[in-house]
Amino acid sequence: MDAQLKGSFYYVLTNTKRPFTIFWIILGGFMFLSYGMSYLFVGSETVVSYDLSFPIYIFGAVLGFNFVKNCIPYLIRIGSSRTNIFLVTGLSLIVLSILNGLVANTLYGLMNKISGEVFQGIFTIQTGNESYSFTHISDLIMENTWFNRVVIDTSIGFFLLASFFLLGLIFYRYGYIGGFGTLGLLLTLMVFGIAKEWLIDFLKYIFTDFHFTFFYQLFLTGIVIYLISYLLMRRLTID
Amino acid sequence: MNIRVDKLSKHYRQKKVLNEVSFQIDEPKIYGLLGRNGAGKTTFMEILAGHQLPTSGEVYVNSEIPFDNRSILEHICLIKEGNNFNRELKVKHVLKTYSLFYPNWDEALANTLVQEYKLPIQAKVKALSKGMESALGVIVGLASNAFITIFDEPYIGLDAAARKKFYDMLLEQYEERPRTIIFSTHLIDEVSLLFEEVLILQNGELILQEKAEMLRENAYSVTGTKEEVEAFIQNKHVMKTKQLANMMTAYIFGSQVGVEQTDLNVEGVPIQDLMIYLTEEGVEKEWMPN
Repeated sequence: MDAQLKGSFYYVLTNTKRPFTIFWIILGGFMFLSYGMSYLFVGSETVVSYDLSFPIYIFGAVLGFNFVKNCIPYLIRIGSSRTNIFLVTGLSLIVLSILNGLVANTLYGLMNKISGEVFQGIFTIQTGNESYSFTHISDLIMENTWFNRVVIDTSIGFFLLASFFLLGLIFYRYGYIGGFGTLGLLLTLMVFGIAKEWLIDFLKYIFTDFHFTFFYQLFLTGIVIYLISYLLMRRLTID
Repeated sequence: MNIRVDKLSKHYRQKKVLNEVSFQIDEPKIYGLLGRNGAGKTTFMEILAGHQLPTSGEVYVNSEIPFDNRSILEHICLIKEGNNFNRELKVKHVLKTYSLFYPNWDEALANTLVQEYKLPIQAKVKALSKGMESALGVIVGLASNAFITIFDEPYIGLDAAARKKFYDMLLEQYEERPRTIIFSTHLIDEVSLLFEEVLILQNGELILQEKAEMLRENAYSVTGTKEEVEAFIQNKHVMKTKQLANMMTAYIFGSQVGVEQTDLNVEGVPIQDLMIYLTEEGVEKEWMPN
């Protein structure tokens, strides 16, 4: 491998290892705690629930945003080219979202196996005699398998990583005015979309015929968003 | 590697930080890039290292623009006075990263310097004292062995002994493997003997580029009675005059011919003082050896 690429990967890996490890130690700790607590309520109606997917989405968003200021200026300072940074960052974000998806769902499956119970869901909807437990977004497509969960978490995780990376880049390059201006513009577009109903129609279109392929499309959308970030990175300067 | 600066300008809104600066650096030497605060030194070094883009004009390194140019940037190392490294990384990670980026990285030298400066390699950068962080910068700059090594006030917080060690090591390395070293500092008196060539910037313009030896020979002061001094400085390039009662001192740039026939007291002008006189507002600059 080209030495500079290797150096960039080494830097990104070293820089990301710490937040990744801390995140999983804390999240894993809370998961074990939840299991411990659930034994305290055996026989009662109280159920202790936990979920690993939503925390990894939030982690992805935060990490994507912070990636810009924690990695890019230092890589430029060492002499890495913008194209190299773009390649290394993109690959790292993909690997990170896959890793998060794999760890979250493997840990979840393992804990269910060890405890001998199937987790009952993070919330339950009761309508008359019917009850519906929601554990994971994969419940929406009624195919709650380990593979589907990994794909869903990876695609949502990557989409958020890429989106917040782009947002972080806008903030880094154009400051608060550019960053908050972009957020304001997105919010205005959303309000406009709801008022004109095309946003509602779009969401209806997605969720009426909700299918697993949506998550592949979401992953591809993440890639497109990431590709757009190159336009901002190409001539990026640092102080 | 040669550096050609061609009408380089950098503007931040209305402020002209660099204004059509042009010069050339051809030989591997130790260059002193001097000037007062806000003269444009750091901006120039950032453009040279590919951190910044000029507003107009260009810097060429071996006829190539350094910005986003991998083959050039792996031979340029810029160490600034602070914020060189991610503060969350450990010292050993910083050294490892730089070793992967710089093809001529001297691992043995880096290890020696780590021991000399007693740097704790397991410590995070944020845990280092100001002096130790500077020492890390100095180690990286020296061990990079980059053809163009730029030090911009690299030793904030380093004590006198540590700075002396740095100068000695810099010279030793330079003798072993000559390269272009651009040095910008406000502690000019300490390092002026290292300089082989001096460039002085003032208000974004290059006002002087000259061999240090030539500056040492041609910058001098004469002190005597007002009448004697005034008579001597006729048709000479006077940078500054000072007067106390009937005694006068004139700081002159040029040949010392004729001074031995007078009773004037002659002294050399240190490069630091020369920079101060030359960059004072209102000093005529047309005669300068640029």
